[in-house]
Amino acid sequence: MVKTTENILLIAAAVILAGVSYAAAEGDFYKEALITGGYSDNDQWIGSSGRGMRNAVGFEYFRKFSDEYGDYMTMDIQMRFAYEDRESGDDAFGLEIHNAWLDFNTGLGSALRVGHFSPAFGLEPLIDTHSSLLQTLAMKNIGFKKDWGLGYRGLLGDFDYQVAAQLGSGMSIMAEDDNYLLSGRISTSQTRDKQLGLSVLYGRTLQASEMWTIPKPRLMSNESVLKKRVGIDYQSPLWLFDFKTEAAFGEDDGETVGGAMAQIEYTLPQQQRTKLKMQTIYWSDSLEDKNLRDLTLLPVIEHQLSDTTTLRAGYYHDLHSRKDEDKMVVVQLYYYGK
Amino acid sequence: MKKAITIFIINLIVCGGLFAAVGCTLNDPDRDIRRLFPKATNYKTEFITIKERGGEELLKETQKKLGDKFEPVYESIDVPYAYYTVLHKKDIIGYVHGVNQKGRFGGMQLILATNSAGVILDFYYQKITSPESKKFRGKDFTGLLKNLSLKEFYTTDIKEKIKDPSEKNSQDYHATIRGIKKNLILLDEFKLENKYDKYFYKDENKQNKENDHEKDND
Repeated sequence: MVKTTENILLIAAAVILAGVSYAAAEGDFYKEALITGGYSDNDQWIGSSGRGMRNAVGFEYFRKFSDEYGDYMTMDIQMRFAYEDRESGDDAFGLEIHNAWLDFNTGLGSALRVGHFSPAFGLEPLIDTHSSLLQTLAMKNIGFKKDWGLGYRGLLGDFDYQVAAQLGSGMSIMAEDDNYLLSGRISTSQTRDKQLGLSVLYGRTLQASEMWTIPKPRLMSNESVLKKRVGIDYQSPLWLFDFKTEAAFGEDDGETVGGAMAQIEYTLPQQQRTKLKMQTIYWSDSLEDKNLRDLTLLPVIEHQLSDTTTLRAGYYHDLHSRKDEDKMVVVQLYYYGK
Repeated sequence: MKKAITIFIINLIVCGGLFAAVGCTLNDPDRDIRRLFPKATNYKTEFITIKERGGEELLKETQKKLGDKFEPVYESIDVPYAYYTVLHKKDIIGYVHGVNQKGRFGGMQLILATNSAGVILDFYYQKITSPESKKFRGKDFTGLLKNLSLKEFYTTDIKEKIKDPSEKNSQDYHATIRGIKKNLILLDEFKLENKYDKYFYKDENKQNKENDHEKDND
């Protein structure tokens, strides 16, 4: 029964993607490519960051559907063929589906979303990190950045809110050990330059060993993890800088976990194609066990070479790591254009 | 899988060439439009580029009307400008549209709400990085834009009406005025069928008529 459900969902995803290909003539179609490489103390020369950034080519298709009464539906599909140099043979190649969602307007200020999208928790639903060296806390906190399911967003007085009911399986569609994920976030209005958000999350999630959708990734365990979380996030201009931070705390199968991220960004006034960024990110899978914590400093310089191409260089410096502490330089060339 | 990736890469190399940059969209259009147009029932979103609408010719004409060259980081020819046409049932009651503008310390995002004739109802910064951002965001400054249209930008010295609110950041003030004018020029081009061209070309038309008159006399 479970396998049948998985197959039906995979077929549904394939049908959606086929529909996109047909409809692409009407919307905005962008190609994208990521070339990533660097040097790590632990692994020497590398072809990926090992932290979500791989060599990949793909596309994004975005379209608004409207009639004489206005917009009634929005679609976004973003997928990449990726190569993971830490794997070998066919295991090194995969198809990553990042965004694959449809928004149905249910009134001015509310919409129902179906497909693959960010859980309603923390900064991840607000920030596009799919090509960035700097990530939010989502990967460490939830285990993935996007998941399959249903979501709803609306306005509550001066506040924005969103809720989501998803599979808890991340990039791919999988059913194992009653996995599911419920999340919700309420925040001050996104129209303001300062935003404060509060989030909650509850569910049983699966942890995959590969971060792609097809072929179906291997599970690190056949047992789902019961996750409970509360989170807070904040972003604001801070004098000449852009500042972002978030923190999340809770339990994984009864173990107390938590972490935080802070990021600051500066645009060079005389050379506005260049940005300097600094992030620090901390996560502990057991607040009582110092061996299960990660703390990384990550300065990044980003230079826009042209309208479509950006060069990024980052330095990962592990101050603490549950594995071998590493120091790594990663360079990334990113293309996004029609 | 490897074969599929190879084909995809070849396709990318063959088809690549047309570029797009990031435009200025509203962070929360539903809330903005509800606030700016309480009677709105919905809105229609369009992404329009100068490249698609008129290419290099239109770029040149827009720069001529603006009186300045476009800047490559924020104003490339294929930047998609987001236009939100605000509706009450089927009737157009206004527009909301934003532009990116180079500021002293980074990109600014300037948002205008206009009625269906292109008269400004509201103006605000969605993003501004400045030590004096509070002064720029203040109603004392943004309120001065209300009820103006492209006509005033073409026919009067707008900086006489709208004074610099800052003490040490006049560069951001000049950038704001430039960005708003650009925003209105593009609205006129993309949505209002160039109804304000008569004010821009007034002197040029007058000069042409005078030339014609002189020729007739000769």
